[in-house]
Amino acid sequence: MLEVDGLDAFYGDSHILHGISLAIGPGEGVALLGRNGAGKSTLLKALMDAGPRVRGTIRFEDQDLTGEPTHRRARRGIALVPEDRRIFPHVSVTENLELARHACPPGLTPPTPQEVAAQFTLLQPILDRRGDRLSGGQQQMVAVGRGLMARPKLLMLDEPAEGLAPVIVEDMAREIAAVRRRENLALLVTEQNIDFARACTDRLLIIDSGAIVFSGDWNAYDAAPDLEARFLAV
Amino acid sequence: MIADLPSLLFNALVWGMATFLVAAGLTMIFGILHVLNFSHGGFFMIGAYVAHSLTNWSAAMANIWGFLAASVLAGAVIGLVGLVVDRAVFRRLAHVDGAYVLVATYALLLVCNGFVKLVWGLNVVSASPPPELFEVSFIGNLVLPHYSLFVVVAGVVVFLALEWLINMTSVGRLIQAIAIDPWMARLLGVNVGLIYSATVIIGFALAGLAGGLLVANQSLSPDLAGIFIIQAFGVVIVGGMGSIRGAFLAAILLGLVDSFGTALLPQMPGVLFFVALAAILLVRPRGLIASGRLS
Repeated sequence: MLEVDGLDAFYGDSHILHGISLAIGPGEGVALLGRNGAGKSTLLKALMDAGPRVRGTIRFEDQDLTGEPTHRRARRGIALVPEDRRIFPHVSVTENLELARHACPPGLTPPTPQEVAAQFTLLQPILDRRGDRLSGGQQQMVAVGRGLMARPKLLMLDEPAEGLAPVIVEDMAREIAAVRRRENLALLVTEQNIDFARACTDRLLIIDSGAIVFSGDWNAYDAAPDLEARFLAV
Repeated sequence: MIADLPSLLFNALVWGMATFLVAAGLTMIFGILHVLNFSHGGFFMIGAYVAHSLTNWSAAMANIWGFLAASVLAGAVIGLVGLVVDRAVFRRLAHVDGAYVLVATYALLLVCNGFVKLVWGLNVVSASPPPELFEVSFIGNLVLPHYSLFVVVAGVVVFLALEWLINMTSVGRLIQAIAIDPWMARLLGVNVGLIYSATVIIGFALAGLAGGLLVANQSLSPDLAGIFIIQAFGVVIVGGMGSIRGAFLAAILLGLVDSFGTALLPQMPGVLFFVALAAILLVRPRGLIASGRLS
């Protein structure tokens, strides 16, 4: 479904990503691990043309995305939930969710905020609350819920568990895994929290200094204990 | 002097609403695109000339409805010009430093001046209000020219319309979302460029409309661009850049300053406006409503 080939990304003169190639199939869950500054967020943003200058090819459902602006990529069914969440402060949670319906591809009926809240039960009590009156955990739930509003085919989560209480992290991992199965949603998730990543994905990629250094399933990761020390330990 | 308080208040309101009409489009474009459009006064002036030419075009236009129609048409014409300016200037400069846009809009102001001289000539043309607005009412000693009442009503109507559009409609809330975080809006599938273009068109149309509505108490000359724009910039800055509500409040406040200032210091008209501008910015450097974006 998503095929990336020879992707380079730049911020100004800094060359951040070097020849990244990867493929994600429909419904597949992939974790993208790596240290801070390894290029995880840059890769997700590059896929949306939402920041870095990009060279190389990105194909989604056999369509070349080169030159396509961010909002069209979103309307093809790619949703990015950014690390800093970016909930709109001036409207309610319900309206934040409704804003995301712009990305719903023509012909599909987007879910209602109530339907999304039925999946993410933590959203239910806060649907009427303004965006600027949310705790960090609530913001994250809204951000993920917003990502699901347009019925995406590929959901990209950038560090969803960062700064959340452990009990919320567990809930969220379970709910994301459940949505994935039900909607046959492909998932690309960057995470420092390896347990969280493992709970909602099938396999993983490790990125270091802007290049992919490991690709395999979680069994292969467990069989290579040096990976954590070499590429993930701080 | 103070015995004439009602007149001073009325003059303040007229000054304020006339200025608000000019400032509305300016602050709206700033609030959403974060572009300071120096050419706003130029397009205000062209709007005034277009409306004036339309009302003189046929005797059937020589009434209040013709006057209103000419103002709305002037707004539409300048709105279309806004579409062209958006394509030719704002979109091309969207990814470079803001200073380039500033210089480009100043260049556009010069183009507007040249265009007016070329098309309408250098002469000063006087315009008068339609007959219905030519009359004057009295409440006690208070003199209420109907045209001044009309300007006050027009200012309030434009303010309420913009308030409604921005705060009560879903399009308005989307526009606010884009003003706050265009990057996130794009990720949610919003065609931000389209909303930017619509904003420029509306902002320019407001300049043209203001030109048409205010033409009748001005003599038309190629200097018209500078007459309202200085005070409009003052209102936008004092109100808080990008805030329509702030501009409305600031217009009334600075209107009071101008009105009382002219009465207290008749030998130095307008000087208190600048003193107040400096004083307010010393106390509230970011303006009355300091969000830096549309509100």
